[in-house]
Amino acid sequence: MRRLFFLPILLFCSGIFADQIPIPKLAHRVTDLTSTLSEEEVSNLENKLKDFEKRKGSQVVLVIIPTTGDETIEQYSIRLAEDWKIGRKGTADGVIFLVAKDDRKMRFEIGRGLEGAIPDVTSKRIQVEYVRPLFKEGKYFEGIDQGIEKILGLIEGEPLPEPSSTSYESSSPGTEDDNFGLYIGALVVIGIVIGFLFKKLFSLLQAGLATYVGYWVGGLLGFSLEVMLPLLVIFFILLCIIYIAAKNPGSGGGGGWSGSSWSSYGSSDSGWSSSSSGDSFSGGGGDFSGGGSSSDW
Amino acid sequence: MSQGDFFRIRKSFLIGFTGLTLFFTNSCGYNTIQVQDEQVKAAWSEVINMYQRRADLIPNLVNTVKGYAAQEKEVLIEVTRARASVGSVQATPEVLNNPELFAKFNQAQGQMTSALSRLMVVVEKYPDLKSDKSFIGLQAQLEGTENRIAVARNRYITSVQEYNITVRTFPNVITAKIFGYDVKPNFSVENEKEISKPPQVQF
Repeated sequence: MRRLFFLPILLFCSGIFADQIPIPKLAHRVTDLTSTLSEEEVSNLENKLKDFEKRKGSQVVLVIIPTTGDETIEQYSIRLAEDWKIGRKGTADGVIFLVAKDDRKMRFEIGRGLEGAIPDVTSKRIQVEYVRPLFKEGKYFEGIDQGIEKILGLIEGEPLPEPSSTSYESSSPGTEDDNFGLYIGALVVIGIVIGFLFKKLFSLLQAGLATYVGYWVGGLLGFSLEVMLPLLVIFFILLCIIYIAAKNPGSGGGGGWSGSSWSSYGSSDSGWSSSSSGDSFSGGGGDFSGGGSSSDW
Repeated sequence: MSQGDFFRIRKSFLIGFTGLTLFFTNSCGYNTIQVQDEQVKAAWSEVINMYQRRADLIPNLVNTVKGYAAQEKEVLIEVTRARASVGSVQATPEVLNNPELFAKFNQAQGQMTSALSRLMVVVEKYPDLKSDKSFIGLQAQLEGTENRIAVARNRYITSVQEYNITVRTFPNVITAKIFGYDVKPNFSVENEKEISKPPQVQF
């Protein structure tokens, strides 16, 4: 809800570091920007991770990049984690396996909900005992495969909520629309109820209250106050003028209607983005707090 | 005064009253301040948690190092002392309303960080210690904790920035003054870069 509001501040905050390598776009469970893995290997891993998510619900992704630039691998990794939000919301059971090939560094970024199943010590051991030796010989696919196998094995033993039938597909854009429709519906109902209640009182009050409700819902939808307030004031004044001109107190809920149509208009350009392609993969909203471990090879 | 007049006056009075109330409950930012104040507190708790986690690792770490490198008294004493001084600063949320205490807390944690990195440098001289299973485990835990501290601090910085912007912009600044919400102290950026570097550990 408030994401829109946080974004500039986050951007500002991350701007204190020197040139940052941009975060790749999340489209698949395996993102290889170095062409280290063959297509067959990529799809092999991809399917393995996909099946696991279907079965267990946890999202595990692999990212191979050339370098993390001026940042340490930890800094880059947490930025990526905050951007992608791998793992389910609330359960926070996502894992990111990040390999910075030219830096010869790797990291497991462990979601908050898996820090018990995969403590730092364990993920370090996986890296040092299984992945590093293979990476040293240049066997990248084998090393990655080993690392992922071990991680999946650990998550397997953790009692997690059942995967919901849709969680492994991209979050359908419908959900947001549904939410939105719900708000609009609620707004209209509230407007009508209020209009009905105050029919016997003052029609101006209906307008005012409808405006207020509209504002309140707008706030719920994540519009900032600065955007809403001037528009609402204008809207309110306009309504007042209309009402005074009409002197017609019988139009209960009219204010509610205008309020709703106004916010639906406002929201259409509020920058709601949702992935709409049917087969793409996206994070489920899991959060990370920096757990995991890094190693070189 | 006719009844109509009376109604009109009551009407305008009510409208004015409702309008004003709505205007103030929405636009004075009181609720925004409440929400963000709470977020800052939560972010701060996370920072304290992670520092606590680090402090809990220290005794084990010191004992493990002692087993191999008892002659490195200086460094070990320094770490132990830093650990004690960290414990002496009460890091309650009240710290946030007291820049002096906040600075003190930071200083103590900073000393802890530097004492630890010196310890890790000393460790380099003892191959047996470095290959000790429990030491390797502790080292991984310490690294992970240091990273968590860095993340928690960054999130605290973000939430405080947001809160401070809120309480310093018009018209929220009026509300903040009335209800006594002050700007909260933040980690400075230069300091941040220095402290958030985890101790360098070579293998």
